[in-house]
Amino acid sequence: MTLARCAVAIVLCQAFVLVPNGFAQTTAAAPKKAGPKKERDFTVGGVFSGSVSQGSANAELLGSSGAPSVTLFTTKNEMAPGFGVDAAFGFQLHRTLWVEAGARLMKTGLRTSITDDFEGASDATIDAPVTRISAEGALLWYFREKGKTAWFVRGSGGVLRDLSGDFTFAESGFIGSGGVGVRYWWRTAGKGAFKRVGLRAEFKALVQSGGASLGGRSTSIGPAGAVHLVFGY
Amino acid sequence: MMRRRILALVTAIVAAGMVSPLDAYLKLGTSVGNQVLGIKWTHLPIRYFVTNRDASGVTAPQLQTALAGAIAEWDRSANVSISSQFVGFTGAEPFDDDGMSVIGFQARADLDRTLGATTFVLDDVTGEILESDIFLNSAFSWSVAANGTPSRFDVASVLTHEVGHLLGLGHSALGETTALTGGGRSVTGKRAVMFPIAYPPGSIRDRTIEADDVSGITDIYGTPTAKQELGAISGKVTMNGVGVLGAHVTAFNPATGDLISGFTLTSKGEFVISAMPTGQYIVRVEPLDDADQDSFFDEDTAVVTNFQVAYYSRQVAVPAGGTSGVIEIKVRAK
Repeated sequence: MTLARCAVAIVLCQAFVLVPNGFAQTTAAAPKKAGPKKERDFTVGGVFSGSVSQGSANAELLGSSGAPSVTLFTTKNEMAPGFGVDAAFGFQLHRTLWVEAGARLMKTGLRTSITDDFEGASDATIDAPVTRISAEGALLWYFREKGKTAWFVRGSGGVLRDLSGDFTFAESGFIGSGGVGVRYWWRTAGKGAFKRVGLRAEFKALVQSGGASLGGRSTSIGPAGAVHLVFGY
Repeated sequence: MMRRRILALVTAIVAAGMVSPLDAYLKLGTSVGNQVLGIKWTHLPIRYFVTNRDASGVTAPQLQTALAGAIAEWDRSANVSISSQFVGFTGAEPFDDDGMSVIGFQARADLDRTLGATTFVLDDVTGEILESDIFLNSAFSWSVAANGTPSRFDVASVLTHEVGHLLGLGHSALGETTALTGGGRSVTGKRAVMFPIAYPPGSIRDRTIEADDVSGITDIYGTPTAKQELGAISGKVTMNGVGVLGAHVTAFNPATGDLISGFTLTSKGEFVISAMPTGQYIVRVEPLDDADQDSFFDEDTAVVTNFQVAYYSRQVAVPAGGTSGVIEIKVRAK
């Protein structure tokens, strides 16, 4: 393209942009064409999380220089596998993009393996039940849809509150996840409150910062999954 | 008001004594009628004098400076409220019942394993500390060098330990020792300034108090805020359904690495470890060896030692401003 032709092209584009404004001053706006109705859904189901290492910690005595000199015992700590329920409302933002808001209740626990006692005590595994309550927001992108089946990626973030088994102790933190899943509608044209009913399964990596912890690590990551009933309306 | 001078056996810090491992802070107490009251200063500031004599390598002003630093170390926690006032140098001696709290050197070659000791004059009714003296044994070689001096004991470190006594703390057993060929023991590791045996000469490690010490001093002089922010573990240790007296109960926080402990102090095996930071703890119980008992309990206390080291079967949550549910740790006979 020569320089002259380029200049003409820019002028034409400006005119194209400006002309509708000129018409708008003299004519009534045409009725806006209604887009496809935004869909909503409600999911409820079960969730599970795998064990998450919280590292090891040694009960140390210090020598005269301040460096550890005697290990009374060694611990390996983890957040034990957990199970629970969750529910979320989903809202369609775009044809393939959804936003969700939900809450979750899980039963999990802290687990410690104790070894190498300085005075020869037997190795032991001890634990403590933890009830985890969390609230999260999420974005879903359905990147492939074929028939009744749709594949998606999902990322979420939120806050958590961990309560000890006797509810005397609580710790707050943050929780996030990223993963992939699949949704299958087995009813797509029903009547009543829910026009569509389906099943959704998801596998993800769960990131936790804060909350109940036995280790020095502030952030940990572990596997998790969920199976939900999905009700579209 | 009745006054009584005590030289608590638990107040000696020994260079090579008879104490072996374990963990715990212990408050000093005095018997009043049928009960034991924890001793403490109730009228602050604590007014103290320093002897006006120099010792080998340590001038009186240097001793006073080290003492002020040791007191400040115990007061550095925001959760602790202690105040003190240096009144002046004096020709008075430590251990004189003169109404003055005097800190200074004395040559006691006969106490060949004692670096220092602390005595009290108490109100016999309330347990209030009226007077407390500290002596450092000038039969040993001492140093006030910033980084310590090899072959010399650190004045600031030993004073930090003795000031812990002066404030009302007993010994902690949070340490391990090894037997020496010629008798006595040396420290291989510890996690409390209030452990009865000092680090070898040259070490300045005991200038800094540990979590066990902090909980102990906070338990006695904690602010109202401390009571809201800190918590406690309570429970009992039993063997075949019977309480175990004198067991060491140690709480370990894996998230911080802190070790804080207490003793079972009743025939039912009951214990309370107070002024603990919130968190999840692993609780371990172990017996005192026979050789330890004199550093922690009266000779006539029937301390039970014939049981195996054991862990409580769950982590224990310490809540802010509260106490864990009462836990029972069952131990088995050796």
